[in-house]
Amino acid sequence: MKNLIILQFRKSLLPFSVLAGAVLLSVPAALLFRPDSLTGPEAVNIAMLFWALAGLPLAIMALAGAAGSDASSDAARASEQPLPESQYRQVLAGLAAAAAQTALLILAIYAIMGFSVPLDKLNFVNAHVASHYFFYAAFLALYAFTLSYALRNAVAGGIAAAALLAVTAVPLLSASLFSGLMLDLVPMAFLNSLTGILVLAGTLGALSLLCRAYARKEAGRAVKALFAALLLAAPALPPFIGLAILRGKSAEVTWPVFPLTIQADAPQDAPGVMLVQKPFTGEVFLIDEEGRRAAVFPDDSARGLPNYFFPVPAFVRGQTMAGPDGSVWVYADRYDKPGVLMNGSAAGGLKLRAAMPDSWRANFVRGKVPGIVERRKDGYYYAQLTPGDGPLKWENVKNITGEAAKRWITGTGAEALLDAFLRSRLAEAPGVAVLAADGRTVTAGGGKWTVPGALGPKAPLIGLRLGDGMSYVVPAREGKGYAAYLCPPGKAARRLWGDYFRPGANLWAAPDGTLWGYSRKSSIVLTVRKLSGASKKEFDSPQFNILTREGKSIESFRLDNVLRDLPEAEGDIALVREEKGELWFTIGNGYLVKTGANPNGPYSAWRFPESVREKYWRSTLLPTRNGILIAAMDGVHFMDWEGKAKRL
Amino acid sequence: MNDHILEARGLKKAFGPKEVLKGLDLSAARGEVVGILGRNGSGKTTLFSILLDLTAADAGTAKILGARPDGSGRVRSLIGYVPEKPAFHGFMTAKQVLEFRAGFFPSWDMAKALGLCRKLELDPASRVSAMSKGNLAKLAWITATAHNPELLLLDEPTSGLDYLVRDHILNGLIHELTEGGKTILVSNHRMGEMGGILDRVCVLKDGVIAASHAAAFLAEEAFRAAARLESPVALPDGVVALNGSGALREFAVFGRERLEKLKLDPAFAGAEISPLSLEDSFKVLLGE
Repeated sequence: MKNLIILQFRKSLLPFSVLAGAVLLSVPAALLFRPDSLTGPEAVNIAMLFWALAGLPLAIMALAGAAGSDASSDAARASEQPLPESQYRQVLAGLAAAAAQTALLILAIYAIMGFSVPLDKLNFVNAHVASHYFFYAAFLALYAFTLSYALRNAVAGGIAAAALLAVTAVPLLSASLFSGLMLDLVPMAFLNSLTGILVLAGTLGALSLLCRAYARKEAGRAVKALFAALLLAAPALPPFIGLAILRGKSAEVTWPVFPLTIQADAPQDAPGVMLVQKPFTGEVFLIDEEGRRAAVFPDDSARGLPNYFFPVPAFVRGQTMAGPDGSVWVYADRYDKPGVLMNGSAAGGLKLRAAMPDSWRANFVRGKVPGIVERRKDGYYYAQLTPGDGPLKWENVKNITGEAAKRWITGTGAEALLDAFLRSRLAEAPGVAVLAADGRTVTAGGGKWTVPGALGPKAPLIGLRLGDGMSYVVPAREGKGYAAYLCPPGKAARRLWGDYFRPGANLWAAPDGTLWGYSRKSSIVLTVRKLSGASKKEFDSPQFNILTREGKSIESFRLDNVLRDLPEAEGDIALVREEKGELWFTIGNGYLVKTGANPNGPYSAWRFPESVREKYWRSTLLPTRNGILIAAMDGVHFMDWEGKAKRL
Repeated sequence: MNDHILEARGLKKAFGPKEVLKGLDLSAARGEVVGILGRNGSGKTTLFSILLDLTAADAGTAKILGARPDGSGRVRSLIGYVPEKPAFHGFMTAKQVLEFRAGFFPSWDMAKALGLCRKLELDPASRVSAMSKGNLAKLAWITATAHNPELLLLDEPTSGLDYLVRDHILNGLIHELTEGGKTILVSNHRMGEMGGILDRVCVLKDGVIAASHAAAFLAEEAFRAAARLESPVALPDGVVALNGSGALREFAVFGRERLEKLKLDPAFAGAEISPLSLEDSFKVLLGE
């Protein structure tokens, strides 16, 4: 075999030497003709880049193609077939020589680049291509040889090989890029390995069949040729199957439309619905705990060939708000469509109340009558959200008057104008409090409280409906530290906890009205220490303060005991329910945990369906009164408080 | 022990709708020289190709020195093969060809190869691309015999060669026979020139060996009978009309017994009898 390989190498020594010489000569040429803007090494690298991207593929096609067509030629048959080696081994020797020449050319280019490809200086796609370069080169060499052998023509074989490489590599590359840039929906390592194995096995198998059909002239030549063609086409199958799986799975991926909250005067009043998007089909819908859904934007997955090979997410932002009549208001804005404002329910469907083609963004405003503030190119507009079917009356925010507005308008620009407007609107709204200019007087819906040394926040304070009615928590300075003051209805403000707590920042109300906040951090910090050769996990987890609906305060509650037991526990921890002394927490997008008031006591934990990783989205969970709505990789799920989950 | 070097049974081969071999049986004993006689396209080259394991038979078996043509090419190490149109790599010299081939044959005898170069007046330093047809034939002969194979397959070994080269080749053949007792299978359009060394002649016709005759029989018991026939006669078996016009006709008669019987036939009374040359015998066999 060695003699045969040497022979084949020698047969194509001249063209190989010319190509290798051209590669080597391009180094002094690059240095000689380099522009002033480039250093010597940069000029050489660019020359080598040219070789890698254009010159080398053509060289491989030429060398391997010529070797393949030569192996099937009458001249080779006459001069080599009488040798006591099988015809298959003789053809394989030609293939090995072509592969060796390809490897030598790549090695030469790699060596000239100093055995280092500057991946960090390439963009993601180029770096990805560079890291798979050997696969592409090997594919081209194997296929150019095999197809040229089959077609007995180097040019036709080389072009066919390049076409098959494109057919195989494009879906593989797009699936790989999708996995790297978006989501791991297909097992790329398996797919790459399988494709690589099929390329090698396919070409070797096809060559064997072609040898038997055309060199040995065995019976059933047409069938053997057909099988050879199938073997050569086989490597394209895994990438396309992978792409089909990717498309199928990506069509099921759901993400919440953020921000993932439903505005309501009280969490207990919020309907159990979630505004969800399927980013890779463009579909947006409102879904409830029973799985009933109302469309906002329909499925729009047929977005052309580029999108077929690389599904691009159609990001949607929007808001939901519970109306006083129990209906849901939805604002949604897909990047490629006019924004819409809709009203209705998941069960009964949503009606379009306003198309918002000029919308930059919009925010719902709770108040005596709920409203929406829309930012357009020419300013802010406000409309009250009235029930019924009639058109909304838009009001340019610039036209507002009032003492609050005047105070904030002065020298503070459009954002301050909006803020002033909202304050004037919200001052009388249930569930919204504003702090007076003295920083100590809190007013809301007729209620008035005085707290010592409040911080004077610019944003309105969101009310929390606790056991004794709509209450407000105000963070206030206390000496060198802070304290949180509770302003309950009809009573004077009282000191709640001795730390900084602010609604919407580190203080929240669970859907059942339980007040909870964390005093240090929201997420888990995990460190692994090596102690005498053994690993030990150490958690630094949030420390919760909780005020139940019955007014019972729990302070410095931690879940370290639970976290130690749960693998892969990471992300934000949130209290989602309290009932008869039992507490329900969500841990990241991973677990629902039920525990008693004793943090070291028994607990139950249930795994959520897999969601899009938290590095992209903080939470894919929406707690409701009855359980958790989960926007997962394979659709929307619902899990009740005892961990029973169903796909909606 | 079966002393057959070569044994083929029921070989069939078709190329598309054309059946070239239709169940061919052939054997050759150790030291036997067998001539394969057949017209162009009769399947001689296909037969050789199957025996050399270059082409797969559609059916039937072949065994050469105990080895079967199985696609591995192993049988080719046991055979010396001289193709009709020898071909070597043009960039090599004759010596490089010999050195290259030596790597594939464990029993390669380089001294013999170089000795044959001298004997056949082939310069080992001459480049293949510059070789004449005759020199290519010499090189083919050398490469076919340098590994001392027990079986030689010669496919038109003297085709298109001048007399001197042909003599060289034929002398080489005789040398191989006398020195090594080789088994030889040879096809040649001018089989007459091989006449002296052939043991047997097989006629390949319609995809099978249609007839097989000992060379001695053809040399000693093939006759030409020239007779004046007044009326058409039914020719007995073994008598073949050759040519002639009018009443004067010529016949080939195979076998002394048949000749004696023919002489007793009144229609052949007075026929002029003479030996039939080998060349003419082969022509008759081909035309049968």
